[in-house]
Amino acid sequence: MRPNVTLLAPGGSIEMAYAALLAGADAVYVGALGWSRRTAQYELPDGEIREICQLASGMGKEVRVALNTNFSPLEMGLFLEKVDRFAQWGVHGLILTDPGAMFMAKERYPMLRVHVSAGANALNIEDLRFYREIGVDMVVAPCNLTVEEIGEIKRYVDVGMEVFLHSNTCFTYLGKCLMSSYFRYQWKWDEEGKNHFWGSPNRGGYCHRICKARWMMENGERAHLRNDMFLAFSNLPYYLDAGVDCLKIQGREYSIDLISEIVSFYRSLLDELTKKGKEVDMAAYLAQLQEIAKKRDAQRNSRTYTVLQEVVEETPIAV
Amino acid sequence: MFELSTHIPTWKILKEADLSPYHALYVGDPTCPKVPGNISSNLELLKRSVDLVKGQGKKCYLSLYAVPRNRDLPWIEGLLERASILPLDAIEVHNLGLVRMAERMHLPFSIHLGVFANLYTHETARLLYRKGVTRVFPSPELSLEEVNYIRTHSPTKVTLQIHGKIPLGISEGCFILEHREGSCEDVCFNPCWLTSGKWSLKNIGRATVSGKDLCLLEYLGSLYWRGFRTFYIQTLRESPRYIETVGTIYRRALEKIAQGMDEYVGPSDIGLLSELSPYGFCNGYLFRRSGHRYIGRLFGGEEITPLEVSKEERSHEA
Repeated sequence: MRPNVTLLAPGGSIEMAYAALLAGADAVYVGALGWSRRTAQYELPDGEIREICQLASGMGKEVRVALNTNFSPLEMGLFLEKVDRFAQWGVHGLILTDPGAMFMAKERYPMLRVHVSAGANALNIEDLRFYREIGVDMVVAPCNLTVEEIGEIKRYVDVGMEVFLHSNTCFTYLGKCLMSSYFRYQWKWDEEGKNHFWGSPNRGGYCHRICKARWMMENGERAHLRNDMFLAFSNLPYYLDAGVDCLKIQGREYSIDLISEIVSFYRSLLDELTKKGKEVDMAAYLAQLQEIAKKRDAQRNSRTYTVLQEVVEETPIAV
Repeated sequence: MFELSTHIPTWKILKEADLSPYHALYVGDPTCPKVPGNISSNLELLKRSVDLVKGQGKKCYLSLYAVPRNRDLPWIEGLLERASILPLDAIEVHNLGLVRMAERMHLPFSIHLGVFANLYTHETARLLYRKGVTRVFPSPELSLEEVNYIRTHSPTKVTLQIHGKIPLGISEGCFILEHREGSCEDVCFNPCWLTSGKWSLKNIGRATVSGKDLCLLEYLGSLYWRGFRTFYIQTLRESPRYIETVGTIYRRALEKIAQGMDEYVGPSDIGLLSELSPYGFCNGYLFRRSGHRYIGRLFGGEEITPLEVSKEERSHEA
């Protein structure tokens, strides 16, 4: 089994980033306030990102900053200021969605790694080649891609590949859903002049999870708009064989304890897979993962209720 | 002077609908290659369609599948290779990989970037222009000033949707097949209306669109005089009557506007549009509001002018 794969964990706060690195993550990703695909609550002001950079550097680990909203064309200047700042602070990589922004960041700082966010939804080999040609280093694969597709991409395109271990699949392809902002969308600026675009997961990271409302069809039957937990556990050995470069755990919005537990779990599994290969008792790990997944689901469901309720208060529906 | 376009997904619609109001047609359904009779999945249908559209003196754009996976690339490349000898005016792509493929193939057509490509900035438009993209359809989530910024800060033309349901998402699987029994032929042309209290959405298989129709009729003059000239009406899974009626209303209005007339909304326009839109109207996101709201004088809209901004917005802009 190939050992050199990066285990990437979320840093929804300084404490979470530190806990994840201690639990065995090789790198953490954090969201710059107003610029990432999560709400402000789970993003960090620049000063805290700088602290995490120092902390990680002391541990010999890496930090990636997500600036992966589809920000306004009028915010391009602000974006470049952020890029300058983070590059100077020694951030290892930027996670971006806008191709024009990727191109500009790479032109400015050729040594800074640019990661294509899952929100950009790179779906095929030609997509990956496009991104490679504009200077991108790593692409986060959408959960929809099969292990075969990921294998094909690794064989034919010279680009780093990052996959989710633990995530959710949206009703639509990730990054291509406007349902939340269709029902509730507010322009809200912060002190730096960044618009947080409340209600838009693509622009501000705030998703009201409209797909989880109680939708009915014309015949009176309940309609299920799929939005399921994605666990790549069974794919893991195949990902490693395919040469995947980075394994990502999603969840800046979860509790620090839960993130620590998830990181420890995957660290232990990866280390054992590296040492023992196919001799690992995957069934025992699966049983452990199912317990973790229950806790994660409970935290997610609680948040779903809260964010949906905010829209319901404006326009009554049945949740 | 200006261009009015729409999508025509199938040969059947192409034959049945009176398309005289439109200057240009995007042939093919980009949401799913399995749509029965999809012009962009069948070379023979494509040839016949191009002949028919060009014979009517219109521009003809081939609309390609929006979310191709690896398995789709060979058939799309084959289609493009054969289509390269047809008198197409452009291809519409929604996927950056297909932009690259078209560039690599040195196709003799312009490239239009479709709505599912998620274009949000002028820098992306500039980057894509260097790869052959001459026209972009920005994300519907952008405000009017943002769309205008892209238009004025990139060399690409910008398409603006002025009527029809807003594309709100595209999925991997077909929602209709998951919820109804039958084959694609049986169920594809019967979209699912989804409601939750006062909310409505329309699912057309792999794509979900708004329940309400975006309607910019009362703002058409203002848009025209700001410099917009490339207008689009979204009619996927609508009836021939819808395609004809909406197209006629907007074409007539645009011609009046171009002649400098202020009164361009006809007396029967409101009633006709209302008949065709059972769940009502919205303005989309152009005025910095939730997509489902209608702000304006018509259709019982909310009585604030689109240029009216909140205290917070004012302080930010100051």
